Amino acid sequence: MARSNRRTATLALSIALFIVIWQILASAVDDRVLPGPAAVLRVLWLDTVSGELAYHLGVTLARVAVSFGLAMIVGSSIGLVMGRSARVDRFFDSWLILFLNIPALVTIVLCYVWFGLSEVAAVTAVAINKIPNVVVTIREGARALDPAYAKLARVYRLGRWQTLRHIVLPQLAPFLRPRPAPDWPWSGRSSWWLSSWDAATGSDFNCISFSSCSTCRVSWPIRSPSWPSCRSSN
Amino acid sequence: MIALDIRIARKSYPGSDGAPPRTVLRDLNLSVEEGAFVCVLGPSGCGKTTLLNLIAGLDRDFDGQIDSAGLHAGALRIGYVFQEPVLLSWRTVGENLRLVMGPVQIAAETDLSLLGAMSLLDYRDAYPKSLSLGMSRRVALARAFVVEPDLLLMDEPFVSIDESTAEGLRQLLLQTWRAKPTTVLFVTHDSREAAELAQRIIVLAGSPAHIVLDRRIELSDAQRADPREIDAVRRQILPAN
Repeated sequence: MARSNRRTATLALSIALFIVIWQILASAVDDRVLPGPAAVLRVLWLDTVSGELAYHLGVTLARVAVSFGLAMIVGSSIGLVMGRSARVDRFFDSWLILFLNIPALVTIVLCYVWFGLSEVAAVTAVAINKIPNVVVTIREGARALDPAYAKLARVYRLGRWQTLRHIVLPQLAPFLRPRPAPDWPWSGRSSWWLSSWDAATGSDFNCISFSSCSTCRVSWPIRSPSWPSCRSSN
Repeated sequence: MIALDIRIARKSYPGSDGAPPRTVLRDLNLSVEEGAFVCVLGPSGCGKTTLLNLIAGLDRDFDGQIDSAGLHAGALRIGYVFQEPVLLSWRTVGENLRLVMGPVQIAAETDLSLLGAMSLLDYRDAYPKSLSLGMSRRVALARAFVVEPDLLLMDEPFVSIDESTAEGLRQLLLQTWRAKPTTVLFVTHDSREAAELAQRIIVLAGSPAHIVLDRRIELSDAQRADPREIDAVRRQILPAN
């Protein structure tokens, strides 16, 4: 109890200090490009009241859900096959290394070039970014599958679907399960929901230009009250 | 239940890291009559598990053939009890059984009567992790019988538990087998266990392994419960080892 109190206190202190530093900087700069906490809070409140915040948050989360689902389905399938077949693994391993090392920003820019500033581009970019991470995680899981269970499934003639559902997926569950980051998962990343899927999907696919002002509109609440371009795009 | 006709000319495993291939079984011919309880006795590592895998069709890479006769319509149903219980730890005891059951067994609720007969009904909703090893082995036995197998393969199913628990499981096996007769191949390295259970004992020895002894055991239940009778059988089969 005392320990968790101390942790809460540390956290509160940390946030307070951050806001103080923010306020000091904002006052010192005194410029529209660095609004203070109070100004941001006011916009946050206004957007909450008007319902805009909920709308944009919904849009963002929907995009995240789609791209996340896509990344999980595609990545898990590839990872499962690579983990089970040494040959397929050898064949695609260099591809995987290549894709793992493409910086997220490159994928994002390329997707916008290819698909325009559209939903498709945003969703595809995130999916492409995260698929290799999912592949790596699930490949590890697939390598760890217990051969005794595979033998069981064959002897008792479980079909492919039953084997996948009752034998394979439960063994992969520790690799698929959302793993909340320690302490305060929703810090830093856009939301708990996002960052809790982090371990499985990689990291930080939060604000990936879901904040592109022109078409997608800013959907993240902490936007500057003094960015005219964002406001005007409404 | 089925009769088996096993003719294995040779079973080899490819050598790893440049070692020559290792022949595990050679010229192993064995006919098992319908409904027989046969124990395959041999030292650890002599190829007994390999033999079961060939019979179960898990491994088809061998010279020879294994035929079964007396099969009803439909695919051969095999019950297999492994050296370890191999229960799905993420499913309850009841779910472990239902997973392997066919539509016929599900319709007949074979699991319920079997769990009852094997004193497992109270554990139906328990997860395997909460069970002792002896109890897990009991569940593994139930899972093998619940498919109403044409052929029951058992690979040292009662190792690494204390003797009294093993004895209880052997009695349970015999009792269940009598209630649900099927052809049984029971692999063990324990001659006492073989003498207690089998109608027929096949002794494997050598490398590659082949049959060195094939003996029928005709003992009454009373005789099987008598340690002196069991020792007499062991004396008959052991010198061949």
